[in-house]
Amino acid sequence: MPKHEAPRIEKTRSGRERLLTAAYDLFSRSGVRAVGVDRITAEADVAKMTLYRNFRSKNELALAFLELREERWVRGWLQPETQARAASPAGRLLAIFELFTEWFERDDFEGCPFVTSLLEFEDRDDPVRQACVEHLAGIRAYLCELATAAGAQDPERFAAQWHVLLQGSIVAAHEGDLDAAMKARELGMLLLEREGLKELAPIGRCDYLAADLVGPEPVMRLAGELDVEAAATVAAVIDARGDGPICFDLADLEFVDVAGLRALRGSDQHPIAIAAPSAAVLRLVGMLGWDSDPGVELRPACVA
Amino acid sequence: MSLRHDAFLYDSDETFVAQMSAHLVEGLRVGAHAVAVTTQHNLGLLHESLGADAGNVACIDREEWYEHPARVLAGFDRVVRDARAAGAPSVFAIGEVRFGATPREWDRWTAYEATIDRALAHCRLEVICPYDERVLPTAVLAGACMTHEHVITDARRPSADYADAAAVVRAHTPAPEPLPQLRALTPPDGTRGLRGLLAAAMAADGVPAAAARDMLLAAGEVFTNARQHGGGATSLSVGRVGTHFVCEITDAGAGLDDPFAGYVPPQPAQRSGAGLWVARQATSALELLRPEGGGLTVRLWS
Repeated sequence: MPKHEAPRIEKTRSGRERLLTAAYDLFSRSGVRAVGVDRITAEADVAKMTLYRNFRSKNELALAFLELREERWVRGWLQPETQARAASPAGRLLAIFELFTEWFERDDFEGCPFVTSLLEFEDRDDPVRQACVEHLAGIRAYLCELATAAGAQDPERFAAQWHVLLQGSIVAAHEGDLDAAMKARELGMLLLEREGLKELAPIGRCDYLAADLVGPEPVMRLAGELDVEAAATVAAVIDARGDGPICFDLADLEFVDVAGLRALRGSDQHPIAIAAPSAAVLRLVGMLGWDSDPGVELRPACVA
Repeated sequence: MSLRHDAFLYDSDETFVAQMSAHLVEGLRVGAHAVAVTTQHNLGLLHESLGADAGNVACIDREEWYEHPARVLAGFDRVVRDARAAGAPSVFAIGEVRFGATPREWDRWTAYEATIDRALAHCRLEVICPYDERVLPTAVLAGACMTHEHVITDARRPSADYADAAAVVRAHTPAPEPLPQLRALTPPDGTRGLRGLLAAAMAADGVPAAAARDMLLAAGEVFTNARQHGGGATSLSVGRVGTHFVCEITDAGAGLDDPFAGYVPPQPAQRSGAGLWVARQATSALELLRPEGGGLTVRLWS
């Protein structure tokens, strides 16, 4: 939006909206306790009466702020961004750390108001504190959803552990460690490995999950979009495995093009098996004549 | 040379049966796979004449086979690959093209006949294309003599009219019509961006899911070609034309003056190429245009 339009919109916004906008900025940066109502009304350029007409108390304004924070930060940023950056659930869990690194590096990095407000309000019955607890549980619910989809043994426990990593990295970032999220990511990789989800990495929009790349027939699962842009990296990963056949599980592949499919055979065109190919994969396999190539075996599932 | 591609001009059921049965029986005798693609009527005649051998001949109604030139080439290539995988030395086939009712369709399938010698040159295939002189227009019969090195009438003889295939394809490919109704989009940076743009445009135009998926595949390959060979896509236009969704991708490269581009089946172990082949397979039509100012425009029809 062009900048000059902003003031016009500012004037047409209701007092409630202006208060909420001012409170959002101030509470996010300084915490709820530290910001007085005078500062909020001044920043919003409204009379104090307007505040109390719209919100019965500063606490009620704080609750509205936390609600808005969840809408903007969790539903408007964290969830869509992780979904856009990776296609598999485990890839999305790891993508959060990349998002956090970008967030930490911003000049206006403000931390997590759910945590800061929680620490400000010691009384366990305080509605603001309770709201913080609920909002944090909401984030954990999203993590749990991803952990369940990724196939974690105990998704709730896994989500709680992941949340500890995220919260810890935020505090370390406050301390000045801009690399905190990447350090936490390494611990996250250990957690995934414990769950048998090792060596998972996103390549562009394509996630690969090399669950068992050892043994007589290594298995590699690919999800997302395997296109020309991911092809070279995928081929390099496959080449690094050395010789021998690999079974590819492509059940979660949303898109594949010629370069992407060819990458599966590495640079030496080694034999492969393709398990659970979708209709789109089968169509391309047929167009390239791979269905009658002895180097390509099509089968319903990888051998466990 | 492993491909034999003859025309057979016939004017009676008797001559059809005599010659074509002999061809299929010869194939079976040498251990080849035998395939007959022709009219229902002619399939009936062959069935009667072949007797016990009929069960060993794959019979295909030509109405199902001759629907889309590039896919027919893929079909013959597949038949040959399947035969080889089964240990057969070659394929003996009859391919009676369905030429259709309009001059435009006659041209389309004459151009198809002209691509065979090049597109299927690698195939161990002996295919005879019967032409029914009783019903086919003279333009099509004249085309048969240009697109087959040998023509069978009472005997098999070299065709005096056999012509340069590239020239025949060019002469029988209509000039692409201008489509001012297409809307220009800003070409995206990457293939993912392209898919996003096209998916949105096709959703807005109500393109069915399967056709949309094929278009994303075809356009992605053309876009990749533009980046690898044409210095990148310089323009992108889309829109509905009748019942089709059309996508045009233009690059600023050296252009492409090969009438067989995208008609030669890729070899399974091939590591590059095949983008245009896939784009032809995945769309109902693909046109190559030379835009003013150079470069290449590939027009894809859903």
